[in-house]
Amino acid sequence: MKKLGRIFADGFYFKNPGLGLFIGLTLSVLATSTLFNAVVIGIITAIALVISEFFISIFRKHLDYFVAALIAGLLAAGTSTVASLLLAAYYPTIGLAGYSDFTNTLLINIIPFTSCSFIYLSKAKHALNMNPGEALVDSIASGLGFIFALALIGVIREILASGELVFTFSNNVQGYVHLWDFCLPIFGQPFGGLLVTALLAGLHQCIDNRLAENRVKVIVKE
Amino acid sequence: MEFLTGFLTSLFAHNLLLMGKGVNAIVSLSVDGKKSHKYVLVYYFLTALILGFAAYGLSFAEKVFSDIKYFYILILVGVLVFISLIFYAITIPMKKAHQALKDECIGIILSTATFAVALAILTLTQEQASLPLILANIIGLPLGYVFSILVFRPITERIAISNAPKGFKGGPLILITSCLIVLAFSALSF
Repeated sequence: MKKLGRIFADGFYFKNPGLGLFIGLTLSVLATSTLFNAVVIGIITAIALVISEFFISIFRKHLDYFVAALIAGLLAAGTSTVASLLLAAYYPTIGLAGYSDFTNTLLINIIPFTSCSFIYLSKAKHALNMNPGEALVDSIASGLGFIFALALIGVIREILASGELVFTFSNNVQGYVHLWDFCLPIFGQPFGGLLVTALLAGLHQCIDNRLAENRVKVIVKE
Repeated sequence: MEFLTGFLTSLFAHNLLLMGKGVNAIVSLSVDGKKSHKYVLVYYFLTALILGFAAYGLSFAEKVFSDIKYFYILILVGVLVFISLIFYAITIPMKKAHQALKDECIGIILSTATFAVALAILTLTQEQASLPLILANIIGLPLGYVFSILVFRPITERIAISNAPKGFKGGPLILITSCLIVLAFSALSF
Protein backbone atom coordinates (compact mmCIF):
# COMPACT_ATOMS: atom_id res chain seq x y z
CA MET A 1 0.00 0.00 0.00
CA LYS A 2 2.87 2.31 0.89
CA LYS A 3 4.50 1.50 -2.44
CA LEU A 4 1.30 2.35 -4.34
CA GLY A 5 1.06 5.64 -2.42
CA ARG A 6 4.61 6.49 -3.43
CA ILE A 7 3.88 5.62 -7.06
CA PHE A 8 0.80 7.88 -6.94
CA ALA A 9 2.71 10.79 -5.38
CA ASP A 10 5.49 10.39 -7.95
CA GLY A 11 3.08 10.34 -10.88
CA PHE A 12 0.93 13.21 -9.65
CA TYR A 13 3.49 15.66 -8.33
CA PHE A 14 7.18 14.69 -8.20
CA LYS A 15 7.26 13.35 -11.75
CA ASN A 16 4.34 15.37 -13.09
CA PRO A 17 4.39 14.86 -16.87
CA GLY A 18 3.64 18.49 -17.74
CA LEU A 19 5.66 20.47 -15.20
CA GLY A 20 8.25 18.00 -13.93
CA LEU A 21 9.23 15.88 -16.91
CA PHE A 22 8.35 18.30 -19.75
CA ILE A 23 6.36 15.66 -21.62
CA GLY A 24 3.44 16.72 -23.78
CA LEU A 25 4.70 20.26 -24.14
CA THR A 26 2.85 20.69 -27.41
CA LEU A 27 -0.38 20.10 -25.57
CA SER A 28 0.72 22.49 -22.84
CA VAL A 29 1.31 25.16 -25.46
CA LEU A 30 -1.49 24.56 -27.95
CA ALA A 31 -4.34 23.15 -25.90
CA THR A 32 -4.29 25.51 -22.95
CA SER A 33 -5.52 28.72 -24.54
CA THR A 34 -8.74 28.27 -22.53
CA LEU A 35 -9.55 26.36 -19.36
CA PHE A 36 -12.27 24.28 -21.04
CA ASN A 37 -9.94 23.13 -23.83
CA ALA A 38 -7.23 22.30 -21.34
CA VAL A 39 -9.48 20.17 -19.15
CA VAL A 40 -11.15 18.30 -22.03
CA ILE A 41 -7.86 17.50 -23.73
CA GLY A 42 -6.25 16.60 -20.42
CA ILE A 43 -9.01 14.08 -19.73
CA ILE A 44 -8.66 12.49 -23.18
CA THR A 45 -4.89 12.28 -22.81
CA ALA A 46 -5.23 10.71 -19.37
CA ILE A 47 -7.61 8.06 -20.74
CA ALA A 48 -5.19 7.31 -23.60
CA LEU A 49 -2.32 7.05 -21.13
CA VAL A 50 -4.17 4.71 -18.77
CA ILE A 51 -5.29 2.38 -21.57
CA SER A 52 -1.87 2.17 -23.23
CA GLU A 53 0.16 1.73 -20.07
CA PHE A 54 -2.23 -0.87 -18.63
CA PHE A 55 -2.24 -2.85 -21.86
CA ILE A 56 1.55 -2.75 -22.15
CA SER A 57 2.00 -3.87 -18.55
CA ILE A 58 -0.20 -6.93 -19.17
CA PHE A 59 2.03 -8.10 -22.04
CA ARG A 60 5.28 -6.68 -20.63
CA LYS A 61 7.09 -10.05 -20.64
CA HIS A 62 6.60 -10.50 -24.38
CA LEU A 63 7.47 -6.98 -25.52
CA ASP A 64 10.73 -5.18 -26.00
CA TYR A 65 11.21 -1.46 -25.61
CA PHE A 66 10.70 -0.35 -29.21
CA VAL A 67 7.67 -2.52 -29.96
CA ALA A 68 6.07 -1.44 -26.67
CA ALA A 69 6.57 2.23 -27.56
CA LEU A 70 4.97 1.68 -30.97
CA ILE A 71 2.01 -0.19 -29.48
CA ALA A 72 1.55 2.59 -26.94
CA GLY A 73 1.45 5.09 -29.81
CA LEU A 74 -1.12 3.05 -31.74
CA LEU A 75 -3.34 2.55 -28.69
CA ALA A 76 -3.21 6.27 -28.01
CA ALA A 77 -4.13 6.94 -31.63
CA GLY A 78 -7.16 4.64 -31.33
CA THR A 79 -8.33 6.16 -28.06
CA SER A 80 -7.92 9.71 -29.23
CA THR A 81 -9.68 8.95 -32.50
CA VAL A 82 -12.75 7.72 -30.65
CA ALA A 83 -12.58 10.73 -28.35
CA SER A 84 -12.21 13.18 -31.22
CA LEU A 85 -15.20 11.70 -33.06
CA LEU A 86 -17.30 11.93 -29.88
CA LEU A 87 -16.23 15.52 -29.36
CA ALA A 88 -16.96 16.40 -32.97
CA ALA A 89 -20.48 14.99 -32.45
CA TYR A 90 -21.26 16.63 -29.10
CA TYR A 91 -18.98 19.68 -28.89
CA PRO A 92 -18.33 20.80 -32.48
CA THR A 93 -17.41 24.32 -31.38
CA ILE A 94 -14.37 23.29 -29.37
CA GLY A 95 -11.02 24.07 -31.00
CA LEU A 96 -7.35 24.81 -30.47
CA ALA A 97 -5.79 28.23 -30.95
CA GLY A 98 -5.19 28.95 -34.62
CA TYR A 99 -6.74 25.74 -35.94
CA SER A 100 -10.17 25.19 -37.34
CA ASP A 101 -10.03 21.42 -37.64
CA PHE A 102 -9.92 20.30 -34.07
CA THR A 103 -9.97 16.58 -34.65
CA ASN A 104 -6.79 16.57 -36.72
CA THR A 105 -4.77 18.44 -34.17
CA LEU A 106 -6.18 16.57 -31.22
CA LEU A 107 -5.46 13.20 -32.79
CA ILE A 108 -1.95 14.09 -33.75
CA ASN A 109 -0.94 15.70 -30.52
CA ILE A 110 -1.90 12.92 -28.16
CA ILE A 111 0.17 10.24 -29.89
CA PRO A 112 3.56 11.82 -29.13
CA PHE A 113 2.56 12.52 -25.56
CA THR A 114 1.72 8.92 -24.81
CA SER A 115 4.69 7.61 -26.76
CA CYS A 116 7.09 9.98 -25.05
CA SER A 117 5.71 9.28 -21.61
CA PHE A 118 6.00 5.59 -22.22
CA ILE A 119 9.52 6.03 -23.53
CA TYR A 120 10.40 7.92 -20.38
CA LEU A 121 8.88 5.21 -18.23
CA SER A 122 10.75 2.53 -20.14
CA LYS A 123 13.98 4.41 -19.64
CA ALA A 124 13.31 4.57 -15.94
CA LYS A 125 12.76 0.80 -15.94
CA HIS A 126 9.19 1.39 -14.84
CA ALA A 127 6.58 0.48 -17.39
CA LEU A 128 8.06 -2.82 -18.48
CA ASN A 129 8.71 -3.83 -14.87
CA MET A 130 5.38 -2.88 -13.32
CA ASN A 131 2.55 -5.28 -12.74
CA PRO A 132 -0.87 -4.19 -14.10
CA GLY A 133 -2.03 -2.85 -10.72
CA GLU A 134 1.00 -0.63 -10.27
CA ALA A 135 0.84 0.49 -13.88
CA LEU A 136 -2.81 1.43 -13.40
CA VAL A 137 -2.04 3.53 -10.31
CA ASP A 138 0.94 5.15 -12.00
CA SER A 139 -0.93 6.00 -15.19
CA ILE A 140 -3.98 7.36 -13.30
CA ALA A 141 -1.71 9.51 -11.14
CA SER A 142 0.23 10.78 -14.16
CA GLY A 143 -3.03 11.48 -16.00
CA LEU A 144 -4.50 13.41 -13.06
CA GLY A 145 -1.24 15.30 -12.67
CA PHE A 146 -1.28 16.20 -16.33
CA ILE A 147 -4.91 17.38 -16.18
CA PHE A 148 -4.03 19.50 -13.14
CA ALA A 149 -1.01 21.03 -14.91
CA LEU A 150 -2.98 21.79 -18.08
CA ALA A 151 -5.86 23.30 -16.11
CA LEU A 152 -3.48 25.53 -14.16
CA ILE A 153 -1.79 26.77 -17.33
CA GLY A 154 -5.21 27.18 -19.00
CA VAL A 155 -6.63 29.31 -16.16
CA ILE A 156 -3.63 31.65 -16.11
CA ARG A 157 -3.53 32.03 -19.88
CA GLU A 158 -7.25 32.59 -20.29
CA ILE A 159 -7.37 35.22 -17.55
CA LEU A 160 -4.31 37.04 -18.88
CA ALA A 161 -5.38 36.81 -22.52
CA SER A 162 -9.00 37.88 -22.19
CA GLY A 163 -9.55 39.06 -18.62
CA GLU A 164 -12.36 36.56 -18.10
CA LEU A 165 -12.99 32.85 -17.52
CA VAL A 166 -15.50 31.05 -19.73
CA PHE A 167 -17.23 27.87 -18.55
CA THR A 168 -18.85 25.70 -21.22
CA PHE A 169 -21.65 23.55 -19.82
CA SER A 170 -22.97 22.26 -23.12
CA ASN A 171 -22.72 23.21 -26.75
CA ASN A 172 -25.15 26.13 -26.37
CA VAL A 173 -24.86 27.02 -22.69
CA GLN A 174 -21.90 29.04 -21.51
CA GLY A 175 -21.20 31.04 -18.40
CA TYR A 176 -18.38 33.44 -17.76
CA VAL A 177 -16.71 35.37 -14.98
CA HIS A 178 -15.48 38.81 -16.04
CA LEU A 179 -12.50 39.78 -13.90
CA TRP A 180 -11.10 42.95 -15.49
CA ASP A 181 -10.89 44.83 -18.80
CA PHE A 182 -7.13 44.61 -19.06
CA CYS A 183 -6.02 41.85 -21.43
CA LEU A 184 -2.83 40.62 -23.12
CA PRO A 185 -3.86 38.70 -26.29
CA ILE A 186 -0.31 37.39 -26.81
CA PHE A 187 -0.93 34.94 -23.97
CA GLY A 188 -3.41 33.19 -26.24
CA GLN A 189 -0.55 32.47 -28.68
CA PRO A 190 2.20 29.79 -28.35
CA PHE A 191 4.45 32.43 -26.78
CA GLY A 192 2.12 32.72 -23.79
CA GLY A 193 1.86 28.95 -23.45
CA LEU A 194 5.61 28.53 -23.34
CA LEU A 195 6.11 31.37 -20.87
CA VAL A 196 3.41 30.25 -18.43
CA THR A 197 4.59 26.61 -18.65
CA ALA A 198 8.19 27.72 -18.02
CA LEU A 199 7.25 29.80 -14.97
CA LEU A 200 5.09 27.06 -13.47
CA ALA A 201 7.78 24.45 -14.15
CA GLY A 202 10.32 26.72 -12.45
CA LEU A 203 8.03 27.05 -9.44
CA HIS A 204 7.58 23.27 -9.36
CA GLN A 205 11.35 22.79 -9.45
CA CYS A 206 11.88 25.37 -6.66
CA ILE A 207 9.38 23.58 -4.40
CA ASP A 208 11.02 20.25 -5.25
CA ASN A 209 14.46 21.60 -4.32
CA ARG A 210 13.15 23.01 -1.05
CA LEU A 211 11.48 19.70 -0.16
CA ALA A 212 14.69 17.81 -0.95
CA GLU A 213 16.73 20.20 1.23
CA ASN A 214 14.30 19.75 4.12
CA ARG A 215 14.48 15.99 3.74
CA VAL A 216 18.28 16.11 3.90
CA LYS A 217 18.10 18.31 7.03
CA VAL A 218 15.78 15.82 8.74
CA ILE A 219 18.08 12.93 7.87
CA VAL A 220 21.14 14.83 9.15
CA LYS A 221 19.35 15.66 12.44
CA GLU A 222 18.42 12.03 12.95
CA MET B 1 7.39 32.73 -57.40
CA GLU B 2 4.69 30.68 -55.68
CA PHE B 3 7.33 28.13 -54.70
CA LEU B 4 9.59 30.82 -53.24
CA THR B 5 6.76 32.40 -51.25
CA GLY B 6 5.63 29.01 -49.99
CA PHE B 7 9.19 28.04 -49.11
CA LEU B 8 9.87 31.20 -47.12
CA THR B 9 6.49 30.93 -45.41
CA SER B 10 7.08 27.34 -44.36
CA LEU B 11 10.62 28.21 -43.31
CA PHE B 12 9.63 31.06 -41.01
CA ALA B 13 5.89 31.68 -40.66
CA HIS B 14 4.91 28.00 -40.46
CA ASN B 15 8.02 27.03 -38.57
CA LEU B 16 7.20 24.10 -36.31
CA LEU B 17 8.68 25.82 -33.28
CA LEU B 18 6.78 29.01 -34.01
CA MET B 19 3.53 27.06 -34.22
CA GLY B 20 4.28 25.59 -30.79
CA LYS B 21 5.16 22.19 -32.21
CA GLY B 22 8.33 20.17 -31.78
CA VAL B 23 9.09 21.93 -28.49
CA ASN B 24 9.19 18.59 -26.74
CA ALA B 25 12.05 17.28 -28.84
CA ILE B 26 14.05 20.47 -28.55
CA VAL B 27 13.68 20.67 -24.79
CA SER B 28 14.45 17.00 -24.21
CA LEU B 29 17.58 17.36 -26.32
CA SER B 30 18.69 20.59 -24.70
CA VAL B 31 18.21 19.83 -21.01
CA ASP B 32 21.69 18.35 -20.95
CA GLY B 33 23.58 21.29 -22.46
CA LYS B 34 26.96 19.52 -22.46
CA LYS B 35 25.83 16.94 -24.94
CA SER B 36 27.72 18.17 -27.97
CA HIS B 37 27.80 14.76 -29.57
CA LYS B 38 28.55 14.62 -33.26
CA TYR B 39 25.73 12.16 -33.76
CA VAL B 40 23.17 14.68 -32.52
CA LEU B 41 23.60 16.94 -35.51
CA VAL B 42 23.39 13.96 -37.87
CA TYR B 43 20.13 12.97 -36.21
CA TYR B 44 18.73 16.44 -36.68
CA PHE B 45 19.20 16.08 -40.40
CA LEU B 46 17.91 12.51 -40.45
CA THR B 47 14.81 13.67 -38.61
CA ALA B 48 14.38 16.47 -41.11
CA LEU B 49 14.73 14.03 -43.99
CA ILE B 50 12.11 11.70 -42.58
CA LEU B 51 9.80 14.64 -41.97
CA GLY B 52 10.07 15.45 -45.67
CA PHE B 53 9.21 11.87 -46.60
CA ALA B 54 6.24 11.91 -44.25
CA ALA B 55 4.91 15.09 -45.81
CA TYR B 56 5.41 13.69 -49.31
CA GLY B 57 3.70 10.40 -48.44
CA LEU B 58 0.77 12.28 -47.03
CA SER B 59 0.41 14.55 -50.01
CA PHE B 60 0.33 11.47 -52.27
CA ALA B 61 -2.07 9.46 -50.11
CA GLU B 62 -4.33 12.42 -49.47
CA LYS B 63 -4.81 12.92 -53.22
CA VAL B 64 -5.40 9.24 -53.99
CA PHE B 65 -7.79 8.53 -51.13
CA SER B 66 -9.38 11.92 -50.71
CA ASP B 67 -12.92 10.52 -51.04
CA ILE B 68 -12.75 8.28 -47.97
CA LYS B 69 -13.93 9.99 -44.79
CA TYR B 70 -11.47 9.97 -41.88
CA PHE B 71 -8.87 8.28 -44.06
CA TYR B 72 -6.29 10.65 -42.68
CA ILE B 73 -6.33 8.66 -39.41
CA LEU B 74 -5.16 5.52 -41.20
CA ILE B 75 -2.61 7.53 -43.14
CA LEU B 76 -1.31 9.04 -39.95
CA VAL B 77 -0.89 5.71 -38.18
CA GLY B 78 0.65 4.15 -41.30
CA VAL B 79 3.14 6.96 -41.75
CA LEU B 80 4.01 6.90 -38.06
CA VAL B 81 4.79 3.19 -38.12
CA PHE B 82 6.61 3.41 -41.45
CA ILE B 83 8.94 6.23 -40.50
CA SER B 84 9.55 4.75 -37.06
CA LEU B 85 10.67 1.49 -38.64
CA ILE B 86 12.93 3.31 -41.10
CA PHE B 87 14.42 5.26 -38.28
CA TYR B 88 14.88 2.15 -36.17
CA ALA B 89 16.70 0.52 -39.09
CA ILE B 90 19.02 3.52 -39.25
CA THR B 91 19.82 3.30 -35.56
CA ILE B 92 20.54 -0.47 -35.50
CA PRO B 93 24.24 -0.14 -36.47
CA MET B 94 24.88 2.20 -33.56
CA LYS B 95 27.15 0.81 -30.87
CA LYS B 96 25.97 -0.03 -27.39
CA ALA B 97 27.71 3.08 -26.08
CA HIS B 98 25.12 5.19 -27.89
CA GLN B 99 22.09 3.34 -26.54
CA ALA B 100 20.81 6.40 -24.64
CA LEU B 101 21.07 8.54 -27.73
CA LYS B 102 19.36 5.84 -29.77
CA ASP B 103 16.42 5.71 -27.34
CA GLU B 104 16.22 9.48 -27.36
CA CYS B 105 16.13 9.55 -31.15
CA ILE B 106 13.17 7.15 -31.26
CA GLY B 107 11.40 9.60 -28.98
CA ILE B 108 12.29 12.47 -31.26
CA ILE B 109 11.05 10.77 -34.37
CA LEU B 110 7.79 9.70 -32.79
CA SER B 111 7.09 13.26 -31.75
CA THR B 112 8.53 15.42 -34.49
CA ALA B 113 7.32 13.22 -37.31
CA THR B 114 3.77 13.43 -36.10
CA PHE B 115 4.05 17.20 -35.78
CA ALA B 116 5.16 17.38 -39.37
CA VAL B 117 2.32 15.13 -40.40
CA ALA B 118 -0.09 17.40 -38.55
CA LEU B 119 1.12 20.47 -40.31
CA ALA B 120 1.28 18.68 -43.65
CA ILE B 121 -2.36 17.63 -43.31
CA LEU B 122 -3.39 21.14 -42.39
CA THR B 123 -1.52 22.60 -45.34
CA LEU B 124 -2.24 20.00 -47.95
CA THR B 125 -5.94 19.71 -47.30
CA GLN B 126 -6.39 23.36 -48.14
CA GLU B 127 -8.49 23.57 -51.26
CA GLN B 128 -6.11 25.82 -53.15
CA ALA B 129 -2.92 23.86 -52.45
CA SER B 130 -0.93 23.55 -55.67
CA LEU B 131 2.12 21.44 -56.52
CA PRO B 132 4.72 24.22 -56.01
CA LEU B 133 3.20 25.00 -52.62
CA ILE B 134 3.28 21.35 -51.60
CA LEU B 135 6.92 21.02 -52.73
CA ALA B 136 7.81 24.20 -50.89
CA ASN B 137 6.30 22.76 -47.72
CA ILE B 138 8.10 19.43 -48.10
CA ILE B 139 11.44 21.22 -48.32
CA GLY B 140 10.69 24.20 -46.14
CA LEU B 141 9.24 22.49 -43.08
CA PRO B 142 12.21 20.22 -42.32
CA LEU B 143 14.69 22.98 -43.10
CA GLY B 144 12.82 25.38 -40.84
CA TYR B 145 12.86 22.85 -38.03
CA VAL B 146 16.59 22.20 -38.43
CA PHE B 147 17.17 25.95 -38.62
CA SER B 148 15.32 26.53 -35.36
CA ILE B 149 17.29 23.72 -33.67
CA LEU B 150 20.58 25.13 -34.91
CA VAL B 151 19.63 28.56 -33.58
CA PHE B 152 18.60 26.97 -30.31
CA ARG B 153 21.67 24.82 -29.73
CA PRO B 154 24.37 27.42 -28.89
CA ILE B 155 21.96 29.35 -26.69
CA THR B 156 21.21 26.30 -24.56
CA GLU B 157 24.92 25.45 -24.34
CA ARG B 158 25.58 28.88 -22.89
CA ILE B 159 22.62 28.61 -20.54
CA ALA B 160 24.05 25.34 -19.18
CA ILE B 161 27.21 27.11 -17.96
CA SER B 162 25.45 30.29 -16.82
CA ASN B 163 24.82 31.29 -13.22
CA ALA B 164 21.03 30.93 -13.41
CA PRO B 165 18.71 30.58 -10.38
CA LYS B 166 18.79 27.01 -9.11
CA GLY B 167 15.07 26.41 -9.51
CA PHE B 168 15.07 27.50 -13.14
CA LYS B 169 18.13 25.56 -14.29
CA GLY B 170 17.45 23.02 -17.01
CA GLY B 171 13.97 22.74 -18.49
CA PRO B 172 12.29 25.98 -17.30
CA LEU B 173 15.08 28.21 -18.59
CA ILE B 174 15.10 26.38 -21.92
CA LEU B 175 11.35 26.93 -22.20
CA ILE B 176 11.79 30.65 -21.53
CA THR B 177 14.49 30.73 -24.22
CA SER B 178 12.24 28.96 -26.66
CA CYS B 179 9.42 31.42 -26.01
CA LEU B 180 11.81 34.29 -26.74
CA ILE B 181 12.90 32.56 -29.96
CA VAL B 182 9.23 32.13 -30.89
CA LEU B 183 8.79 35.86 -30.32
CA ALA B 184 11.79 36.59 -32.56
CA PHE B 185 10.58 34.21 -35.28
CA SER B 186 7.14 35.76 -35.26
CA ALA B 187 8.76 38.98 -36.46
CA LEU B 188 9.94 37.06 -39.54
CA SER B 189 6.48 35.78 -40.46
CA PHE B 190 5.19 37.74 -43.37
